[in-house]
Amino acid sequence: MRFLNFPTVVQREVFECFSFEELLALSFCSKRFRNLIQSLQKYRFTKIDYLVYRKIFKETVFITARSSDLKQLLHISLHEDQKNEEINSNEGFKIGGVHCSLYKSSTFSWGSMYMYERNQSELIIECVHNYFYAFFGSSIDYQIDLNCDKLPQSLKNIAGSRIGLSENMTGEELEACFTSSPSQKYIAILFKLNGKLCPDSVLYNTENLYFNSTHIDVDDLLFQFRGKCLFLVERNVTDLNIIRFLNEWKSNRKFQNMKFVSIFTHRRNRFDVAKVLYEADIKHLDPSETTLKLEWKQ
Amino acid sequence: MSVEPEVPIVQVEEVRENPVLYKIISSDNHVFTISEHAVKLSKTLWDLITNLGLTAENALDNPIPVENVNGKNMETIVQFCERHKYDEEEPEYTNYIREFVLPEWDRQLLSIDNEELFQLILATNYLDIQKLMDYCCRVIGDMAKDKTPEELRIIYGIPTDAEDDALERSASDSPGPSG
Repeated sequence: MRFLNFPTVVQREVFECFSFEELLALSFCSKRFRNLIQSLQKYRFTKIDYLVYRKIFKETVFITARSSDLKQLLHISLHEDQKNEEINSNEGFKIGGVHCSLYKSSTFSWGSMYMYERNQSELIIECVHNYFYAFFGSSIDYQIDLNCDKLPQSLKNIAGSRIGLSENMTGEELEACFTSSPSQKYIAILFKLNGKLCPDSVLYNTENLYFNSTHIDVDDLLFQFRGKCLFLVERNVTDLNIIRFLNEWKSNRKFQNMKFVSIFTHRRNRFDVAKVLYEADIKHLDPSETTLKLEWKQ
Repeated sequence: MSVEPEVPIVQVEEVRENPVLYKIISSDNHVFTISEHAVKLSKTLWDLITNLGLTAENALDNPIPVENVNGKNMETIVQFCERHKYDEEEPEYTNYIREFVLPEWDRQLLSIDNEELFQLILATNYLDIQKLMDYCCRVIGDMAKDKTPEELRIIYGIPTDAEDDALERSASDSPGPSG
């Protein structure tokens, strides 16, 4: 089939029949073909709302792209090849320069499986992300979801991260995860941090931060956060923290960006709600007092 | 035409339902008869018919020459159009991909080698028959199922980067029109 000899209008029609996974596989065929797909299918790529790199195990990366209505548009998995040899150039292809090779192993109903060379687990997300960013474009929110020992530090243009901290991870190690993408829209941190956050942590400037950890310095986080939304799940939070925070927020001297705060604590008995409301001068209004009701007759 | 179709020929009764018939002459001078409902599936042919002012009375006396389509492809196209002339309009696809299952009759009709399919698609594009184009594209798309990039390169005749580079070099090395 001389695909490249078809008129452009026919090439576009054919591309419409390919799934995103098939277009991706076709993009690996050659630079020229990749450029052709990009030029004819760019409008379809804008239907991808976000793409997540999920690394739960050290050797495996799952990549899922979804539309804004959460429909799955792409799902592939990358696995470390247990053979201790280079990927054969007949079956594989280079991705992201000369150092990173992949080959397509299988296709399943849930998506495609690719293998990468042994001992490249640190490099592979970076190479694949750089490729995806160049291929699918910058309109997509690229996110990472990591739950492992070593976190990649070199992913650029990441819009959101969900990081499950490993045991004994320090604030400095966590900070290093954001070196290449310091300004993210969403960050979620889970599990225990060893020690304190860095004094000038990028987390404080994140637009939307979810922090579910233990033994975090609540004052540090609450009073240095400069983003819009904060979700905090922390057992050490006390009513004194909350009262001080609410009074400062109300004063309008700090937290000008803040739109929403949610604090959840498991220790209800350490929390005197009436005291918080009184000290922060907050009144509970009857909904009927705050809602304007309009009634009319037909 | 000497080519034996592998699919059932359109029932004569179907054609009789509509008395208006048109004659089409392929590039290799084969003559085909097609009903009005069927020919409407081709935007190019229908535009031609209306522009020429062909009517039920004079249609058969004025065969339409189609220079870009040979008899073999025209036969497939006429069969397809007769088969699908009363189909309802396809709904717009909304699922981020043009997903549908090719009916068995059409799969048989389009079970041809890659070069024949290539030529049929060019003819379909020229005659602007959207449904046949969709079906041909589905056949091409189905070829990619479960294939590795290397297999895809062979199926679709995609040159490697090295081959593209060599082609570009030889094109830039070759003398221009002046010499």
